[in-house]
Amino acid sequence: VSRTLFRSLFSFDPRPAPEVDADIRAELDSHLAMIEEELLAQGATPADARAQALARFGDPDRLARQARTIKLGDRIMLQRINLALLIVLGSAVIFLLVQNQRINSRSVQTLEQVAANLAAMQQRQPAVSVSSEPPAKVVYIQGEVQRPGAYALPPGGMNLQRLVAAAGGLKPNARTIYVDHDRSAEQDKVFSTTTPLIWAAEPLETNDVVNVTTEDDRRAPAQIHVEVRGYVANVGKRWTLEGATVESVLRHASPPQEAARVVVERTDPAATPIEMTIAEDGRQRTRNSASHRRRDQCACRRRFPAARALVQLPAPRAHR
Amino acid sequence: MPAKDSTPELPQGALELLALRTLARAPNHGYGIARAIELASGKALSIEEGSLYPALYRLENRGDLKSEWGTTDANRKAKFYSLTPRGRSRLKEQTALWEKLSTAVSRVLSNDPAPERAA
Repeated sequence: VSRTLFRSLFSFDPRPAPEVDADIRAELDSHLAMIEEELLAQGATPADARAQALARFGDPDRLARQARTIKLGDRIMLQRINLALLIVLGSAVIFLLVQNQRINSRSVQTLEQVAANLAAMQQRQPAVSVSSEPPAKVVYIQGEVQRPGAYALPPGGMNLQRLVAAAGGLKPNARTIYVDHDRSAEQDKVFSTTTPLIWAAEPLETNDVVNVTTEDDRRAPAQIHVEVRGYVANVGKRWTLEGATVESVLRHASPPQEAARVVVERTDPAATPIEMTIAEDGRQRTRNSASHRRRDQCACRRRFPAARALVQLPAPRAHR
Repeated sequence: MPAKDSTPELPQGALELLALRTLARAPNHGYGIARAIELASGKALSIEEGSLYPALYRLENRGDLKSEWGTTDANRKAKFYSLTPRGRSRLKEQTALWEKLSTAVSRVLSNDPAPERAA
């Protein structure tokens, strides 16, 4: 009964497909063989019998395919229905999973919200707000710069030039830079803004304070302009710091290795020229008034920075 | 289903009916059914014998026939078909239907109007 019910619901051969194929083939071949037998009995040659049998029977391959579709057609349909059902079920499962995931993530978000709210409430109570973070490493700059303020000190440290650059540079009226080093033994450093090659390299550390003012500070040596002419290897103008000695200026100009006379003309026409001699051993001796000591400085005022040193060889020795 | 030039092409369903009719007498295999139809029609109907099989398989799927492998008188393996009760009732039903249809077609062809309509 169940078999007929099954048959009426799904009319197909329930055996596996290869078995069904073999069955069809065997049946068609059996029929063909019987036709051939009949023709052979009538006196046909075997080759003729085969050809005639095929003509009467039709193409066995085509018929086998046709038969297969009939026998298994419903099964193929059933398999398609199965596949469709599987896909529908699969999508339903995936849909439910995704939905579930969404709900989960929503609840996670809610939990995060609650946690954030709790944290905010705790922070509002000053007694609880304990910052575990170490204070940031900063240096400060104030006064005559474009953007005064606190600047983070990078791990490798930084020099004054970088800080000034970070602060947007000096204003045009800046004159003196004070660096208040936050280190116990260090004294404040004072720089003139006219000596960028000197102050640029000043190293900074945490909590150092840089103050830039418009006032001149005598402690900050300014840059001055000197010119050396005469019997030296390197004639010409050069920069040096206010307070530099004539000796140091001449040393850089490579003076002669013999005794020579030096006349320092001050830029200020009212100032008395300084005269001195250079001995054969390179030491210089001031020859003129007692008011100039041996280490008389090329004491130019900042307003009159330039000076000219004229180095002259004594006449008799020059012609030796 | 290409028909041979000298023989008429069978209308759809006719082959199934002929197979059922043949098997109503005795179970038979495909070759036997083909021979029986050929003989019974006075060789007027010569089918492409292979085309019998799609008809047989359809009938078997519907439950009108059942099949079984057996041996012929010549001791050859062959599949034998036989009518089921369901096939027997279908044969009756289809025969009646066919007779009705062929009468109607014959009437139309002989241009002889149905008596009730003429009256």
